[in-house]
Order: sequence, then structure tokens, then C-alpha cells
Amino acid sequence: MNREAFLEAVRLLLALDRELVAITFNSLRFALASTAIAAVISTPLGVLIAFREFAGKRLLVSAMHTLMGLPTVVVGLLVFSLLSRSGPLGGLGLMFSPSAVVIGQSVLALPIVLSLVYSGLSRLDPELRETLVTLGASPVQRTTKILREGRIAVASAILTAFGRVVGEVGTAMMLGGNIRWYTRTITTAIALETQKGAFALSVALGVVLLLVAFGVNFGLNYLIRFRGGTA
Amino acid sequence: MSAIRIQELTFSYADSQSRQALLEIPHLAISHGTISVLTGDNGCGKTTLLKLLAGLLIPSSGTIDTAAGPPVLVHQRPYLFAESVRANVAWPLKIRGVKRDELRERVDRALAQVGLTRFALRWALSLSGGEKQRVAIARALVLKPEVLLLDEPTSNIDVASVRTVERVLRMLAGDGTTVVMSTHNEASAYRLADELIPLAAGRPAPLRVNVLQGTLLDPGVNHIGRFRVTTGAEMFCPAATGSFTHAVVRMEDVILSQHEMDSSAQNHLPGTVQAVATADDELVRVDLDCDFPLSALVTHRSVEELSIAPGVRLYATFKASAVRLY
Amino acid sequence: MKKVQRTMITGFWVLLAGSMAWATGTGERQEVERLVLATTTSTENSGLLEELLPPFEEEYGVVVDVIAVGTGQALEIGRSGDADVLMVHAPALEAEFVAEGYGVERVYFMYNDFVVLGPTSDPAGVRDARDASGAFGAIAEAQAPFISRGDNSGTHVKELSMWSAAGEADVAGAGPWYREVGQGMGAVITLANEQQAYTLADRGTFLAYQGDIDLEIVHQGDPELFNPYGIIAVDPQRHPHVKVELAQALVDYVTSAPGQAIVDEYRIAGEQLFFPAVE
Repeated sequence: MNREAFLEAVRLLLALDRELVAITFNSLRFALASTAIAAVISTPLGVLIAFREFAGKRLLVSAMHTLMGLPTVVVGLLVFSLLSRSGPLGGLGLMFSPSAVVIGQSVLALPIVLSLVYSGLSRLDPELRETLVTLGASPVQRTTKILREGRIAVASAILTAFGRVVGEVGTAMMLGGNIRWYTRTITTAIALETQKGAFALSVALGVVLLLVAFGVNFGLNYLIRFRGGTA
Repeated sequence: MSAIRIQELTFSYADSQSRQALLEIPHLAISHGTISVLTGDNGCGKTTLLKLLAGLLIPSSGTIDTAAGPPVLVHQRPYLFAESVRANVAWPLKIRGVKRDELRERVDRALAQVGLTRFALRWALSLSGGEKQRVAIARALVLKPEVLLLDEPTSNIDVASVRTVERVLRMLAGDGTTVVMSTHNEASAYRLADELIPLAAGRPAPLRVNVLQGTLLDPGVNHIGRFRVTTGAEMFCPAATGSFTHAVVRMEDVILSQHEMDSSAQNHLPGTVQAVATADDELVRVDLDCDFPLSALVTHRSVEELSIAPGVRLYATFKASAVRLY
Repeated sequence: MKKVQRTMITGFWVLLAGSMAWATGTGERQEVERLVLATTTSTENSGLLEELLPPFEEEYGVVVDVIAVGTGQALEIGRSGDADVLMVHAPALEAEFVAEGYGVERVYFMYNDFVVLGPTSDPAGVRDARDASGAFGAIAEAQAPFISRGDNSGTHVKELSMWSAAGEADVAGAGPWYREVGQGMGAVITLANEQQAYTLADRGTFLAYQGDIDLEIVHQGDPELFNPYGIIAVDPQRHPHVKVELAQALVDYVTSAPGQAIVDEYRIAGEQLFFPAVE
């Protein structure tokens, strides 16, 4: 790692090197897609769990929080065993494709969104649900309204999940195979380039990732500071 | 035809261990366009009954018939949405797909009814307790409910707002809405109620006060004032200034005698017995007509000794200080 | 404020939906046929494939997806049927793979070599060794620091066979001078440089790092250090879905004259790395 590599990295960034851009696009679109899937599934589910009492709720909440911290390679391994040709879903032929990466990252993101949405919403007054019922709202209308009331928490949850997913390497590597142009993301590319000793591209990619992370954090801070904690 | 009729209602929570039901009401009928006030200590079942009426809880047994559409409940500390007042009030209509013009008109009307027209664009969560209560009422009114339920509407708000809310409720009842509310604020209860429904331990409790509507005739001299009941009869009450519309005398403060007594009490009112009914093991309730309905609680022995029966003429005596003005 | 917010929110959802569609590969890649090649990281890192594959891709109108992992993992991917063709350099393991019925045939098509790297001072006197096993023997005797891949890669397998040849089969427990790190070639070279230790590396990776490190080649050229590459099409009897014709076409291509020529002509820093094996 030396001055030349660093200068070369700057050149790549400023020139918007084609491969650099392609890799960044991959990272962003996989992360966006998987965060979206996780959000669509987890936000209504979070509403359900936050506003209802049921047997085993405490256990479920515990499980959710634990799953949040799943190591990415564990998720990668799990999904790999499902999607591999010799696995139960092998017939779909999804291994080493963008779809596989998105599936794996969705699995990563799901408990994060679910857990944070649940936490955020459970800080809302439990009377909210009763109020909505008494005003005659249907279950869908109630869920939508509750999510709107807890919108800061929901947005923070999604942003947090995105941040985690865009910076992970274990799942993307195992499920995507780091195929050039196709499934290579910022993180898998950094892993590869560093190993090759090609530090210029690594550094450039690292800068991009830092910028993305910075953006995510900025967004989160804005939400929390200027739009009020949880609601 | 009652607005609400309850028959043999009982309620317990599903996981309740106790063998006694939380709420047990054999019969209750509420008429259209009246204000019924549930009174009683905390935990007596007022909120539970309101939730049952609202359909938020299912009775364990018995029936609740509401002649008109579903009642709308306004909670004690109402949950307002993180939006403008207007948006809060408009929401129940929005989810029903009400068209923009009709929506705007109904929202404006509801806001006017509660006196919050000027507040339409304010952030709902930034309002005072009383103002929030009114927003919640407007939000319920916008649905034009035939029955409006309110849990402690005046219990947690500033004094000025209490009067405003009471005025709104009276106006609504005047327009034909049936209002059922709970309160532990005695003053509100007496001021508002067309029908007082006391509850104790989840069961209807007997009414033990006389509530009389009228006006304070004369603020009083020598600590004694005069209160005129709507029928025209007058009674002596504590001296007071202000506008009072209700006089309350506890039934057990009324003494009955066959002849007019010389006593330190200021009120001696002749009347005719209308009804005599056993109140409990000790006491009997005697309803008199003294140009206005007045009831007294006396012992069984007194009933025998004075031969109290319908038609008998008696004197009702009570101190001026036994009268509470609201 | 409301309108801007609304536009932003709609824009966000459009972006989301768009990226979801895009992410799940509704792009041009879907229409082109894919052939999945599992190979080792050192092979991919050498850059040879970027010269070797394009003519094949063009002629057949396909795209070869290169999955670069460790040798063991590449073979496992072949076993599970997630790849159509393998390219590794571990003859014993490759033979096993075919014998177990996972591969059609192992075709030897090129070789590169390993070199022994060490500090310029050469404390173990490796430069004086007559052959590769002598070199390893010298290191063991001097108990000079040695970094091992320790990851069952082709390099690691070769390294272990050299220890055996030098009469030091039990090297794993030999002492703190022998360090197994379980990492890729690049990381191992970097580590060895930091610790000024000896190591066994493939020439390709060494050439890539040459400018950045202080280690030198202290022994090379012994045929024992040759590193033969085999290409194996995954057997359709095991995994009926594999693209066996295309895989076979790739095998034929790398062993053909033009394929072999590319191998022969490939240079890193002006030095030849791979040597064609087909006559």
C-alpha cells in the first residue's frame, strides 16, 4: 500500500471508472432490493407483534433481537444450502446470481427491520390501536395508520438495515460468487482486490463505501434529531 | 324505543381467575338524545362498560342493542395523530372514501361544533389537554354518530376547557345525539346528566342523591341563599355567587315527619308520598312529590312508626347546608 | 413542503421498484447463456482468464461466470452441481473428484510453477540447496520462520508434499517457526514479508506483489515445483442440469492451438507465468 496506489485510487474515483461504477451500482441495487423486500414483509409484521398480545410473544421478541446479530457468513451458508443445486431449492438454478444475493441479504435485513420496527412501534401509546378500531378502520387501514404514526421509527429501521446490508461481504460472497460485472459488489471486490494486491481499486471502493455509510448515518441522524425520536 | 338497551350483561376477561364477573348489569336502557353519566370510584367498571358499548370488548354473556349505528368512543386521554388538527378530524372520513368537498364541509362543521375552527392547521400534539379532548370529540363527531361515548372527558383538563366541553356535550344532546360518558368529577356529573348511572364493583348501584335543576335565585344573606327548582318550588341553600344550575341533596339528609317540625334546618317542605321501596337491609327509599320529586332514605322502623305509604302527606326537612350547588 | 415530500416519497418507491427489477437480473445478462466456471483465487488473480476466456465467449455467444474460491471449495461447488466446469491445480484431489463420478474427465492443459520465497539475507542458506526438497530440508533444519497457507489449497498441498520429500512429514507440530495462517496467497506473501519469513508461492501471485515486498525467489525450477492445471467438466450423470456440451467446448478450446497460444503468450511484468501442456 503506497502513494501510487492512493493516487491511482483518486484517479479512478474522479474519472468514474467504468468498473468502479458498475460495482457500486451492484452494491446499491442489491442492498435496495433486499431492504425493500425486508421492509415490505417486516413492517406489517412489526405492527402485528407490537399491538397484540399472544402466547410466546416474549420468546419471539427475544428471538428477533438475537437474529439481528446473525453473522453474514452464517446467513450465506444457510441460504447456500437451500439454493445450491444439491439443496431443496436447487431446481431454481439461482446460485451465483443477483437473485441469490438479494435473497441472502433479505434474510439478513428482515430481522433487523422487524426488530427495530417492533421496538419503535411499541413505544407508541397502545391506545392507538383501540382508537383506530373505534373510528371504524379496517385492519389494512389500521396498519397503515400505525406505520404512519411511527414513521420515524420505521424509516430508521429501514435505513439501518440498508446500512448493514450494503456493507456486508459474507453473504454476497457466498451466494453471488463475486462474478465480475454480474455479482461483484463493493465489499466482495475489496476482498478480492486486496487479496490480489491491487490496492488502488480497493481504496477507491473503500472510499465509495465510506461515502455510502456516511450518507446512511447522516440520514439516520437527521431523522432522529430533527423529526423527533420515535414518532 | 331506547337508543341503547342492555340485557343480562356480564363481562370478564378471558384469562380472569376470579369467579365473580368484572361487570354485571341485569338491565339498562338509555333514551335518545340524553346525556347519561356513569359515576363511581376508579375500578368500578365505567371504562369497561364504555368499551363494551363501543364494541371494543365482547360481552361474556347478555346483549347490548344499539338501535342506531355503531357508537364512537372518545378515550380518556385521546390519542391524536402526529398531524394537523384538520387532518386528525378528517381521517375517519378519509378512510371511508368520502369525497373532498363533502369531507371539507363535515370537518369544518365538526370543528365549529367544538369551537376549534381557528385551530384547524395547528399541530394537534401541541395543543392543551382540553383542546386535545375537543379535537378527539370533533374527530368522533365527524362520523355523525347517533351514540357518542366519552371516558372521563373532563377529568384531565383545565377548568376553562371543562366548561367548553360540557357546553359541547349539552349541545350535542340537544341536537339528538345520545351521549354516554363516565366521570369521577361530581360537578360535571350533576351538571350534565339527564340520567345518573352509579356503578360500584361492576354492578349498578342505587342512586342516593336528589339532583334538582333550577337556578340560584338569590346569592344569599346571612350565609343562606335560595334556589328555585324548575317547577317553581324554592329551597334554602348555602350562600353562593355564580351561576348554578343544579342543586344536590343526599337522600339520607332528608328527614321525614308527620307534622312540620321546629328545627334548625331551614327547609321544611310538605309533600305526598309517591312510592316506598326497600333500598337494602337497613334502609327504605321514600319518593315524595313536594312540587318536585324528592327522595329520602329512612329506616324500616321509621316507615312503620310513621305509617309511611303512598298517598300519605309528610314533611321533608333538610338543612340549607345539606344542599350542594353545581 | 407537502408536494416536495410527496414527490420525494414517490420517487423513492419508483427507485426501489426499479432497482428490485434490475437487481433480480432482468437486464441483458438474462438472455445470454451462462457457463459457470469454478476455479481458484490464484488462477483468477493471475489475470489469465481475462485473456483466455473472451475469444471463447465471443465464438459461442456465451458468458463465463468465474467463481474464484479456494481449491477445496471449488471442488465442493462442482460436487454440489453449482458449477458446470472446474479449473484447479490439485491433481490428487482432481483424480478423486473424477473417480467419485463427479467429473467427466480431468484434462491437463497447462502448468505454472511454485517458487520458494525468502528474505534477502537467506538465513537458512536455501540458495545453496541442490533441489526443492533440499531447500525445504534446509529451512526445517535452521528452524527458520515459514508461513504456510494452511488451507488445503493447491499451494498448501504442494507445500506439504515438499516437506514429506524432505523427510519432515511431521512439520505441523515442528515448532513455532512453522506458522499456518489459513489465508489466501496474497495475504500469506504479505505476512511473510512482514515477518521476513520463508514461504512457498505460485509465481503468478509473487509477480503481482514483487514490487511491494522485500522477499526474493531463493529457489526455483525444480520440476517438483511444477503446478499442473486440470480442467474438468462436471458429470451430467450426477447433475443432469449442467451444461455439459458447453463445458466440453471450453475444455476443447483451452487445449486447442489458439487456447494454448494464449496461455503461452501471457505475461506479467514481462515474465511468462503459465506453460502450455498440450503437444
